[in-house]
Amino acid sequence: MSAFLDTALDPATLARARAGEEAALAAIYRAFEVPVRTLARRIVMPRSAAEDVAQDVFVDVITRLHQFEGRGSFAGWVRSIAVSRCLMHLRSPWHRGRRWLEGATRPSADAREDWDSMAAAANHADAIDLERALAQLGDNARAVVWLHDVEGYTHAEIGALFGASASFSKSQLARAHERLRSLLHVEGDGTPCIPVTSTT
Amino acid sequence: MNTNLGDRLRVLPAVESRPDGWPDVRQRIAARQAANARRTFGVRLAAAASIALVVVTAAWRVSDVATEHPGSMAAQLTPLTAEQALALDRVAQLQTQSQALDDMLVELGAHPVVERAGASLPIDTLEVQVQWLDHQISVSDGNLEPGSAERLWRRRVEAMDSLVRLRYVEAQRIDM
Repeated sequence: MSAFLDTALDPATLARARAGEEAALAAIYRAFEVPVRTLARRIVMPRSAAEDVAQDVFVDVITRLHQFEGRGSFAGWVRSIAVSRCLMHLRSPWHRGRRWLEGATRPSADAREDWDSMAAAANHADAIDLERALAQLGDNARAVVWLHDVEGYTHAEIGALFGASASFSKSQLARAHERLRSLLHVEGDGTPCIPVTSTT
Repeated sequence: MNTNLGDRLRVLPAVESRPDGWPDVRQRIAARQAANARRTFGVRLAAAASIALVVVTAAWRVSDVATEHPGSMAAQLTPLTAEQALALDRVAQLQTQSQALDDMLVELGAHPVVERAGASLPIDTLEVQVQWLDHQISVSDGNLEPGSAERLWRRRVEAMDSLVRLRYVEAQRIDM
């Protein structure tokens, strides 16, 4: 389940924040810091860029609080801003140029260390493998995987975010899963990532 | 496979909190607000400069017209609006164009002795039209509204332009 949807903010705090109360604004930051920064770190590379994007998400949230009409959940609204910011970064000429210099979709050593450090903090070998494999996906593929598998976006929603059709999301996801399967098989301890179950 | 992969992705560790995160956000907000304020100030300054330029131009035009035609309506009706001042400017341009076309017509010489019937009629019609416009302009004696003067002079330039073209084509045909 998305970490955003586990995060709740009481209406009184939100009302005080909309009135400009500093403590309430800080409370919003504290409540959503981890989900926003995690999303940015999973989708955007390198780490420094992801941190920058995450901070800009909060600037958007705070300065656009008056635009939140309360029709959906506040967490969903924050998440939509975060996703939009991340994808804007991936589409930016600056980022594309940087990726081109790095050699298309091959992650830099820094990027790999970023992911490793997150998993290492949790001291989890399986997480390290998975994070390394994710880091080797292309930008779009990694974003599609995260949005679909973790954030629970539908293919139609992802397609719309990328300005494409649902088929784009489906094909990106299928290829990304296949790539992850092969990477996990090679990088792991030799056992397939999914146990083979007997059909008899 | 996909379900399992999704489960594994969902339990990946989250990032840790950042102690300087909120102060950094506050700084970014302040910087963005300062940039917006600068941009707004710049836009207002540009708008004020544009308005001042239009006012100065209009005032200059009004004084210019008043000096050239002391007894005219333009001199009495001060100040002119910006649109009227611009119309006067366009009238001056049309008068210059009209004079240039007159000169070109003189260069083309007098009516040829022999004209095609197909060309003779439109040439005559255009000449009558120009004469009528000249009469309208002379009758008004500079008392026309800037918009009306502009319309008359524009029609004269259009008629003269057509006349010069037709006369040029005819002259070329006769030379051959």
